Amino acid sequence: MRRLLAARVAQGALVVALVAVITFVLVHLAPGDPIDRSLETSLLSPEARATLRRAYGLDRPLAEQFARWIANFARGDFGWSFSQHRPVRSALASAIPNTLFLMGAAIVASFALGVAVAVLQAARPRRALDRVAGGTLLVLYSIPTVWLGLMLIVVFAQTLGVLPVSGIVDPVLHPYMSLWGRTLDRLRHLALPVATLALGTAASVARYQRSALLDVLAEDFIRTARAKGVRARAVLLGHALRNALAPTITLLGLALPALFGGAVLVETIFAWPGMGLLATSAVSARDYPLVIACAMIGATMVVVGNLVADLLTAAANPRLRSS
Amino acid sequence: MSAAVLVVIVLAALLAPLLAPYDPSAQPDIVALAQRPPSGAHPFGTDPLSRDVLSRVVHGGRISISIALLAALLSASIGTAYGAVAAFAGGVTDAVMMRVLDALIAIPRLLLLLLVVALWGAVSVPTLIVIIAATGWFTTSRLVRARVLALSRDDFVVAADALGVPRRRVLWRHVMPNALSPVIVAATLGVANVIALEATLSYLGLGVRPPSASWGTILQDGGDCMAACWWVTAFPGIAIVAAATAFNALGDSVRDAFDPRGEHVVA
Amino acid sequence: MVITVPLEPDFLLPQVVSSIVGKVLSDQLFEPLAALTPEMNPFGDKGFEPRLAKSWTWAPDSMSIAFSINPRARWHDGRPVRAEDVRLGFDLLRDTLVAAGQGANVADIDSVQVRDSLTAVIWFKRRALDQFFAAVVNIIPVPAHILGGADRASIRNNAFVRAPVGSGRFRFVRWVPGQLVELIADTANFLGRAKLDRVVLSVAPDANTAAQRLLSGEADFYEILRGDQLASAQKSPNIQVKPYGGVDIASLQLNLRDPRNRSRPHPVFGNREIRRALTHAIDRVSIARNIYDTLASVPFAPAPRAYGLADSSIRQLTYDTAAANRTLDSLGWRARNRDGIRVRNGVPLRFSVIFPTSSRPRQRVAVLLQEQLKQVGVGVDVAPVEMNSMIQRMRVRDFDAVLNSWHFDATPSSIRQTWSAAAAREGGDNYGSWTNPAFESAIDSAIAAPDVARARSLYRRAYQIWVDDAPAVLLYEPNLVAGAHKRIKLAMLRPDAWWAYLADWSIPADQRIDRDRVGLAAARQ
Repeated sequence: MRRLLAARVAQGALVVALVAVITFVLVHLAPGDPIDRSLETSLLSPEARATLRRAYGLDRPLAEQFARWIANFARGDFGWSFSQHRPVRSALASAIPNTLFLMGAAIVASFALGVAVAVLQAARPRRALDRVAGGTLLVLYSIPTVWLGLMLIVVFAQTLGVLPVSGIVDPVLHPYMSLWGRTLDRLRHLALPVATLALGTAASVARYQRSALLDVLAEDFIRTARAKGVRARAVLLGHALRNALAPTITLLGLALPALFGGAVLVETIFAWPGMGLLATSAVSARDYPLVIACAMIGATMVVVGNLVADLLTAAANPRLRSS
Repeated sequence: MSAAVLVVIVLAALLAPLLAPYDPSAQPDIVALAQRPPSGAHPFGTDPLSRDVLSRVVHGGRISISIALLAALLSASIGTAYGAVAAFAGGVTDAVMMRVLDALIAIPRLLLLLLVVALWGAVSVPTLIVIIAATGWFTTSRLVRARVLALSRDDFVVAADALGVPRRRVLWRHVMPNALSPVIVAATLGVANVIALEATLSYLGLGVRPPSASWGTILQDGGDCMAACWWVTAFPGIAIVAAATAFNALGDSVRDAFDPRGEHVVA
Repeated sequence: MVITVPLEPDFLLPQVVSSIVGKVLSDQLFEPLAALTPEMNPFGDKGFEPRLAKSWTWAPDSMSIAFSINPRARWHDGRPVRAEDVRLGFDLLRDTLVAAGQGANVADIDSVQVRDSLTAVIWFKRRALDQFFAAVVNIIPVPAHILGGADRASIRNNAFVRAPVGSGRFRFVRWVPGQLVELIADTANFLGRAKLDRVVLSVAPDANTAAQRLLSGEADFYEILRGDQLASAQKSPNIQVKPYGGVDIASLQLNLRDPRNRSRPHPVFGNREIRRALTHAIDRVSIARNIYDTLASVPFAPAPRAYGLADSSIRQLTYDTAAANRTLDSLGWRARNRDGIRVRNGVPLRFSVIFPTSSRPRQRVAVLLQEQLKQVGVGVDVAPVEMNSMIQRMRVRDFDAVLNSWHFDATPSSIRQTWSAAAAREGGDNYGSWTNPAFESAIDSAIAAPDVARARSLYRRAYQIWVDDAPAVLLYEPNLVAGAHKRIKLAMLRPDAWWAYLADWSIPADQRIDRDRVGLAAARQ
């Protein structure tokens, strides 16, 4: 088990390194560089721009820039962000918690909602409720995230005016609020982004969980439990759900890249100051060090997420644990 | 129900020139006729440039559906080829190919696409198809590889080996055809996925070039006035959701047909 | 009060600011020596009021001006403002290590001399009607006791640039990257305490979100409302809308050199008659109406009407498709291909229009142009490109036509930066490489003109030459409309800088809401 874990960690590190290389190449293929991008330098003579480029080492061959980046990275230095004018590390430090917060909330919301709907469906399969829910889930699952986000804004922020359009906290009042007030403020700002991110995922969780539940309900031990007179609800929640959760946890691992991608989009729609917003602005500013760092952090999240999902699956499934 | 929706959408896309009441890119009067709500003359209203939204949705469907079908087909092919090669080759080649795949899966697709937007901006339809396919084949190739490996341990392959049938022939004749069912399911669900993705890409600025319109770009055209001209976003939005739902439902049915026991693959 | 903006500021030090949002803030934090009054007269010094300078004296030959600094002027750390601070403000602009964007604006200023601790003398290389403007608008004093020893080459990485100690009526509190910048009133300021306690600039990801924040009450002010947003704002019981003119002009700028080989003229736009025909073929009145409803007009010249020089006395190329068709026919572009596009010697009459992917109004204009030019048989490829690519392509002149927008400062002489032969070389701002000796000599004479009346007539002559030559199709100049919550008492919104009198905006005590009552207490971190 421990050796397996070590191998997986090594593989993960390799994957993250490959991501760094791929992003490095892609970002340098794109036209423009951090010096060109800045409008202030549009008035500069080509010579002055060359000076700036030299100062940042952007005039060196690609391989050399990459080697230097690796050397700095090995020392724990992610480099200097051209667009944020601060170390990449500090830009990441303020963005990562926000993204984890958003994704964490979305994961909890989508799995809670998804599993709950699935249980309701599985309680009386192929009846009216199951069918209606199934159809609704299919539609929810098919709605593009962008459209969902924009529609939620139109309805809840523009028309009803009950929830904020964007941002993570109230820009003025937040620091002056009581603990309770600040919590509420955060939740209000969290509502629409999480709904946008979680509804689609919840639908796929529910679809998956329902069929897993139905499979388990057809197995012998359930029939035994029923024969012993255990009540239907206890069978469903106690026996079936516990056994049907393992595949759903695996789904969590698989859903992580999609969730992270979704978070990138949701963050740009709702101005959520996380990794996604950071990455999109870094791409448009040609902020190479920041783009690469964002891609690496994103990849690390995905790799770690998959690893955790594997471990959880192993923990939840006794048959796998022994092997 | 979903079959009926699918038939309607595909027919509408095929017969677009006959069904559309107007030229989808004509701007009859950009001052007086812009942004008119649905009426008898314009059942879906007009957009901010006075173009008929119904005609645009019908013609846009043509482009969106063909992009989705072709991109799904292409990405299924790339995925199948990659997965099969990895599985057949085995050993170091397989290991390397799988690590590269892990890395590709671990880069958020949207970040990749953002970089692509940076490189190309608005693109032609064939390029768009290639971009979508090139970033969408990863899961399929994993499925194919797993399926091929599982099948090559199957009794009939082992038996064929024992009988001295050339390995290559066993693989082509017996393993591949059986490995294709998850690909077909994934491709069908992929069509739905691409229909939705196309809307996202238009939002990011990677859409088809005007005057052509896809559902995604029509949505984008209405993005500035969602409250004041809801009809410009609502109708293509409904078309996208309806088409994606129909293809997802089709994917479900195909999967059930291949796999009556319900061992579902995740796509 | 919360002001929402669609972009993050870049810097807060006046010498390195290049974004408008950065300028909004640095103008609050740093006072100039003297400031334009609402009449915005850039000629001479009559249109200016004293700020850090208490008074000024011209040398008899007008080659220098001595500014006496107000002895009550203080930096936010309590130190007095001194003549060295003026000199440092100039030196930073001119230092090639700093690579300041506005460096070119002070090309005609020779030096700043410290006569005594409270007297700074600005020396000019030549006399001009707007020399006072050039000096006080660009040379912003910065604290020499803090920045004097700073490394010039890495000044943009200096912590001061993102957390400055200024001299303005607002002082800096905090900058949360990607989210907000907060300022509070400098209660001891010698020009008077700002009437608002606190101003928060809240960064929205795009213009739509910014407008929505105003409409939903999350923000109190947004500078540009347009179309549907404006309609909703007018319906809202809580929002006041205020038109304030504007000094922006949107245009279709044409490249007169062949992008594939810059030594050759452009195959389409190299010909003056074709450029004029294209201008005739575009229904600019309708385009302005479509994008801005009644809130935009077709520009008279490459200078905004708000400054009073460009007016209806300049003859225009009006919308006239018959004239366009006649010209194109007579030039041999007679045959049409299958798509209805004119063809000559097998070459179709087509060009591509680039604009940034992120700009929806420009996307809309591009599609309008495409359809209108199709009517006269000219093909347009609509080519949205990512912002970086666009800047890059404009810089190396790799484009046919670009949808561009210019923001003009109050002095007409800045037109030299966009349309002179000097600016046409790579790196300059004359992206279309249009040059015209008659135009340039009229501008140069106007700059050196002995009096304002003569200057005005020379500028108008130059504008007429430009319009007749049609190096760009001027599309519209919007009359900008700001939206603000009704409880905010706005001061005058200057057309070129709505934020100019922000320190005089106020909120009556009885109308304050929670976020106005926070007071000057420091935020809990």
